[in-house]
Amino acid sequence: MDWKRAKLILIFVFIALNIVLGVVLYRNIKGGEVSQETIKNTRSILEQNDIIVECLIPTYTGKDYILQYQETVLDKSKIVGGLLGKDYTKINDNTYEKDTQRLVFPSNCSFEYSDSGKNNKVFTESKNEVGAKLKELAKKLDIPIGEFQLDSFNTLVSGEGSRAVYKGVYDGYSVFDNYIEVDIEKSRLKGIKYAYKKPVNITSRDINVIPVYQILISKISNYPGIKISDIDMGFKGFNVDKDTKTLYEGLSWRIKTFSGTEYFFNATNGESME
Amino acid sequence: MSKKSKALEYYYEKFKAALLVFLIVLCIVQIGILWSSQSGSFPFLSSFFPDSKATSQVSLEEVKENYMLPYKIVLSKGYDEEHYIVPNGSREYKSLWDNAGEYITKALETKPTQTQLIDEEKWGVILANKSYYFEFKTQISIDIVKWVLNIKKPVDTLPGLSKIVICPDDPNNSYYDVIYIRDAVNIYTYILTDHGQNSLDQEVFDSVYNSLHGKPNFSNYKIAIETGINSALPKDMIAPFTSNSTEAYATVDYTPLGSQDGHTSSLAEYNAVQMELFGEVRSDYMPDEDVYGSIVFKNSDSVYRLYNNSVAEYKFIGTQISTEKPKVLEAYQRAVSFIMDIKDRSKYMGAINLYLSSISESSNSYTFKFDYSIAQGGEYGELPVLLKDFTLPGSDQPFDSSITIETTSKRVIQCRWLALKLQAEKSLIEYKWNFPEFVDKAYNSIDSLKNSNLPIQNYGIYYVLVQGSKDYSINPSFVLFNSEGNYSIPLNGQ
Amino acid sequence: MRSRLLLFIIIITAIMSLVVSPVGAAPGKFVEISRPEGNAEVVTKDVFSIFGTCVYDETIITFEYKDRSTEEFKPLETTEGYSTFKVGSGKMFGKDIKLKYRGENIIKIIAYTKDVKDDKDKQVQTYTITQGEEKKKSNWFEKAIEWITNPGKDSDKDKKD
Repeated sequence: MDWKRAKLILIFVFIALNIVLGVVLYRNIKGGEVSQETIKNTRSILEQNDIIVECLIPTYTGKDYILQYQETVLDKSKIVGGLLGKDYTKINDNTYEKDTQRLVFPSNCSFEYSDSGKNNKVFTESKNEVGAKLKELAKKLDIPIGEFQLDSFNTLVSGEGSRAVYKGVYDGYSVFDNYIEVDIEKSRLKGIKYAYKKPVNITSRDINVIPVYQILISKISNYPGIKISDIDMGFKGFNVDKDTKTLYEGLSWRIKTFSGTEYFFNATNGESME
Repeated sequence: MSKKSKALEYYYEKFKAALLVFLIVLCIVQIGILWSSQSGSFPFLSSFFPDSKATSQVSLEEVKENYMLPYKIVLSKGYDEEHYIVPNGSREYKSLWDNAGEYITKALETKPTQTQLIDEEKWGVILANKSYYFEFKTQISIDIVKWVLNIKKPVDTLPGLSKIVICPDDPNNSYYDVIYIRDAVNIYTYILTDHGQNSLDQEVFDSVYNSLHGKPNFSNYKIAIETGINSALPKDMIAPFTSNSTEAYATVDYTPLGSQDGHTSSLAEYNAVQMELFGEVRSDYMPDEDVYGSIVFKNSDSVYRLYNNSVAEYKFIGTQISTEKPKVLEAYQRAVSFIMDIKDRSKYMGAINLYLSSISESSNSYTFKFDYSIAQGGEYGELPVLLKDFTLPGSDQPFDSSITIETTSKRVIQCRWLALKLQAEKSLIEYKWNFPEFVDKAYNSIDSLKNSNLPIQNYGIYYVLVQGSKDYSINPSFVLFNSEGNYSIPLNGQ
Repeated sequence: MRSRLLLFIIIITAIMSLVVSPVGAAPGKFVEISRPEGNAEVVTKDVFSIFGTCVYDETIITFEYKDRSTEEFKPLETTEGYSTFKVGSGKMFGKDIKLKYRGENIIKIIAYTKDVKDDKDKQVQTYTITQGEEKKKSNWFEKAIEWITNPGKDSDKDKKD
């Protein structure tokens, strides 16, 4: 046997085998590409169902990630003091009132402030200045405003006033369950909804996400007539019951419409998250 | 060839060899990565093998007998004669129950010769006199019996069965095989005039009797009817009413799932618990915890919860569409499939056998309860587990059976089960006890029992598992039951 | 009016006496023997089991047998070796005794509590247990022959031996 020749043949065989395995491995890690043809077809299928997508359709099919939270408890006294000042009335452990203002703590990590009358909290109608005003207020309330970014700024359905929505961000990912909703009417603060749990860690999981085009075809086609303004991905959990906490959340696809409706779908199983 | 070119060729060959080795190693590494990323199945070949769920579906037919087992089999020589409890799980137990199936099938394919309302005294006399007695923990619905025993041509007369006496070649009935079946209301007598089977005949009886006779466990037992008709005890109770019975039982060690140092909420700990609970890390379930400190795994339509007292729970939280009245057999099959899946996936239930202990019906679901029984090893049979003072947060019902599962015809709504690593030690300890002595001990030491002044309904030897106990090994106890509850006294080991 | 009141008191007293007297229980009733059943039993084995349920906590039970030679009652030991034993709050007992004689055995069961000082207040019950010949165990073939020759005898049902 010509051993030298055999070695050369084996080298070529193994190079070829390694290339094949390398390609398979790369595809496995990447999770498979979504072709532009697929995206195009998705759009046309949705159009047939009277659904318009006026944004890019993401093609991410890679690994799922899991976000870990730390149990977070709001400093109630700072929130109450910062929003109601002095001379407020404590209705119960979670409800405070002052004149036309009402402050409720639905959980340890969230609050809802509303004012049904006129108050002195002069804000702004300008989209650019809302951030600066909120930053000032956040400092008083001890809110980590740096962990939020503006998500939307829309006119309220009533036609009077605007709503600025800030979503949590962590390590470049949106954290949908952390949010600040600020309602402004005639340059005055009408209400704030706030929820925040401190994200501490992101870990990758040995599972790939479902590409969003599959969700658009299988789930969103059930909502004919909607106009999709934005599709993105972030962390979102779901509530089982009032006794269960949320310490970990997986990735979910968010599909937003021009009317402000948001649809969330679990990115690993495609289930709708109400 | 010059020296220089020879040296060059030498190094070239060396390089080729090294490159070949490198390529082989790289190839192995890539295959390894691919293999592990394919969830343990070999790449390229995985599509040729059916998945585990499909296998599980097939095996329901194969294992259905294991979930409908008599809790007690008694061999009797006659009234005032010897009675032996055949150790559950022993070779004799399996063979007797297999053979009894033929007789019960034959009986249920004919009409009963006689149907009479239950007369406790008469029933006691029947089982004391006749050769074989089989007792279930609860009345088993006839649809389940028909499915398990493959009864093809049933004559539907009785709604279910809870106790069976078989007397093959009964000399008092013209040497025909006679079967007595009892449900909650009636005793049905079947005289099989054309039954050709002899799988429980005198020869089989003698063989089982000889294998049990002289062995320590379950000797000196009497049937309560033999203590006199005026005795207040249930007439079919079997116990050592006079002399001591010497019985050997193992100590059972148990450990909870997960970390014993307390719950940490770390992903590694959650994964470890999932491995023990499901046999794999379920990426479709998000780990969490609840306000009671339970470990939670949830997805959008179901939740698994491991309470601090080692009770695991599955709950369907999705929308239930069907409101139709469920069929007991379909609901039971759902329940058994689910439990089978739990048993298959988890290693901790290896030494545990299950006995159906209750069936209850609500408007659109059935609830089945099963009790655990721990194998002592071969001829020593099994000993059941009794849960004491187990409660669950947010539930006003005590958790008193090792498995409680609620199902409809379509799905499992909720299942709660004891998720503990239970293991019987290899060595056995001898216990001597008799019924009156332990009744005395119980009444002398438990005030609530003495004050209740209620008649004894039943008794048993159990591994009593008390919620919150930090003693991770348990020895058997004598347990008395009355209509208010149960009362336990530890047996004294020798 | 007075006579009516008197009549009322008499009726009430009569009713009360009917209701109250069973509660007081007959003096000397300490145990209910459930086996032997009745005053006499015929058995084949030489070991006989006695069962009873006591009325009070802490009852003392003594077994005696009538000695054929002396015609006197002597202590009868259980198979565990006691002729007198105490039954506690559980109230029930079951004891095996070895019959002294083939044929008739007169057995006395004496029951009392620690408060009973006088022998005449103790409960004493006497039973006759007759130990007959052990039934010859016939084999299946013999039984079959017996059935063929006496077909009417088989409906003896679930007899106690």
